[in-house]
Amino acid sequence: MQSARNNTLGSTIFQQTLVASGVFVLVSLAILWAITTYMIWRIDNDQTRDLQSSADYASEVYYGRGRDALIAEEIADGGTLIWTDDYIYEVLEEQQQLWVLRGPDYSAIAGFAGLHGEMGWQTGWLDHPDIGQNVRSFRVQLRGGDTLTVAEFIPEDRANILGFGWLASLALVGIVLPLSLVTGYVLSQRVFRRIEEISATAAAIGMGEMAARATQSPRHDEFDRLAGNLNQMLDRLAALNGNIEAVSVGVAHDLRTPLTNIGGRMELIRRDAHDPDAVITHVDAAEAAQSQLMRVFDALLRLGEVKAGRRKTAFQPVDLSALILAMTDAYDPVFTDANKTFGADIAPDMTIHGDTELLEQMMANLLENALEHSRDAARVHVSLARSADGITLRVGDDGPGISPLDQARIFDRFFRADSSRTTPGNGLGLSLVQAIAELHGAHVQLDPKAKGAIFDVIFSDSA
Amino acid sequence: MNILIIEDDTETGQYLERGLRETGWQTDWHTTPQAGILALSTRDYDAVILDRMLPGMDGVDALRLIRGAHMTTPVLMLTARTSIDDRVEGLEAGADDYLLKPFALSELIARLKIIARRPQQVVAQTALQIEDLILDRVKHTVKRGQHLLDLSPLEFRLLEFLMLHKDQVITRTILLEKVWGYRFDPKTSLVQTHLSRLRAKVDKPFDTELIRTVRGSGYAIGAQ
Repeated sequence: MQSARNNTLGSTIFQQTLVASGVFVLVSLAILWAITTYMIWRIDNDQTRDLQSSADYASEVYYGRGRDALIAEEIADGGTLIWTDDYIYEVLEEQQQLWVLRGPDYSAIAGFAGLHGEMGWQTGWLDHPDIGQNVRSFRVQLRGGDTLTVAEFIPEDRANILGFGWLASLALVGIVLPLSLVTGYVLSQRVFRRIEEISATAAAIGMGEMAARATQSPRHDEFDRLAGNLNQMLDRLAALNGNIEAVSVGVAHDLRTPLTNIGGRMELIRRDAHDPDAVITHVDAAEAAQSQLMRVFDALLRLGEVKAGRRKTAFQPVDLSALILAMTDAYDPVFTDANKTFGADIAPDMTIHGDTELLEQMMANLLENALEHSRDAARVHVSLARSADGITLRVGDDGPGISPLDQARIFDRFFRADSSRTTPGNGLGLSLVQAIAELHGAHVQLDPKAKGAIFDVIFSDSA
Repeated sequence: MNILIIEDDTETGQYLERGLRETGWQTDWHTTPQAGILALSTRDYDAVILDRMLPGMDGVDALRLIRGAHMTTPVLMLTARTSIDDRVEGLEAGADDYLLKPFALSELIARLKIIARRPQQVVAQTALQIEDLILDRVKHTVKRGQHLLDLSPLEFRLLEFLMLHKDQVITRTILLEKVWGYRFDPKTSLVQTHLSRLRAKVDKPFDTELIRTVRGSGYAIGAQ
């Protein structure tokens, strides 16, 4: 088994975190740059439109009314012809734009001589000792080699926005991406470790270490629920497995004796073939053993059928009072013949939803259990009454009871208390009682304090 | 009696044929449901033994075919011990009785006798009589000679069932099914206990015993 750490980088959850943070950063970058680009475009667009319209207007004046009119009205405008470094400030107080009209020899005729630029659009700096701000300029050709350049300062916002764009991009790539990777790694490692624990448990079970169980933290998170469910499933499987083992051993044990008897009788028949009376005796004994075998099979089949819950579809209202009363009537003389006192106290009109045949079987098993395992001259009592939880059927005797050691196991298949080894039976009776009760949503319990064995079958109202 | 056997298993078929012929009955044995149904439509039988598991067709489906064709011959179904639901299904499809494999021949014969076609006058009788034992089904009284017998309702039903099937062997399981309505096999001597009580009232005080135990099979009522 590899360590959890080595596997973290290759784990699905880490890879998915990686992809997710990659996508997240890319999308963030795209949105960031879309906004940045749009804002810059807006700034640039406003500026070029201003400059373009100024240049258009100046051209109109120049061509319409002549060079001197342009100079006098638009550039000098009552001020100086050539703008000095200091005069610039005065101009800028009134307007945003700087102008320069140059002659064919590039010499400045009017405006600010420090405004340079090629033809068309350009960005650059002013030739000025104090102003370092970038300008956007637009230079147009006029008549006779004259050119006019108009310029505006590029707003500081533009640089700020661009700077913010780059800073945010840097932060996304340089901080958010590594951070999400680390978070992803830590998270996936934690998840991985929890899953690895559960997976190790499953692997251990797979290797035959049936007692292995997943550990649960006190946090009760989803992993604890998973581990809890897994453990519950394993416990149930273990119980079932134990049950199957017990059943296999029980079947083998219960089948061996009658099979041996039948084999023995066969041999005796061969030996006593000349004596018809002896043969009949042997056949009777073999038949008895065979019917004992069939009884085990029937009980097992019925138990399986009841456990599978198939009979539930045939449920219908059953008058439990009438059913129990009929059965106590039927068994009364059997108890009397066995020298035991029998009493019944049945409340009338107790109706449940169920399967008559199975309920009769359950009652018969309880009665036969009392008949077989109670002391000589015992007093066996049956009662059916409404209780706080629903309807309670009680079948009990007054001794000798079931030892505390055996109490936990009496409902197990094939379990027989040592004290009852000598009596006939297959250890399936009470298992069947429990299975039938459970099918009816009822609960069977043994009164642990009672002197005798007292079984309560509680049919709850909600079931 | 004339019995039709529809059973694909050779061993079971031979066992049935031999056992029933020893009883003095005629049998026809077919291994496929098709041949069996054909025989049933051409000859008159008192009862049919129909296996649940047949090649090519479920016994229950075969039975539905038979009943669908308005053939009312009583049918006893045989089945392996798999599920009690099978029995319900078989009875719903129109079977008259149902027996789980493996079974005792005596049980099968007893059941066949009960379901087989016979004059129906017995059922309509209001009073049943065997020798000096008279059971009045209307007044719910039982008399032996001049003596009125005091029977419990259960003992009355037990005696009535035996008397309705006079001289027939009635097995323990049949009694459990027909008199008590129980479908399970009690470990205790439930039937024996009630039978011995019944005999103590019906036979013991009198000279002749009418109810007798048939060794290994069950009980029968009738003059010796």
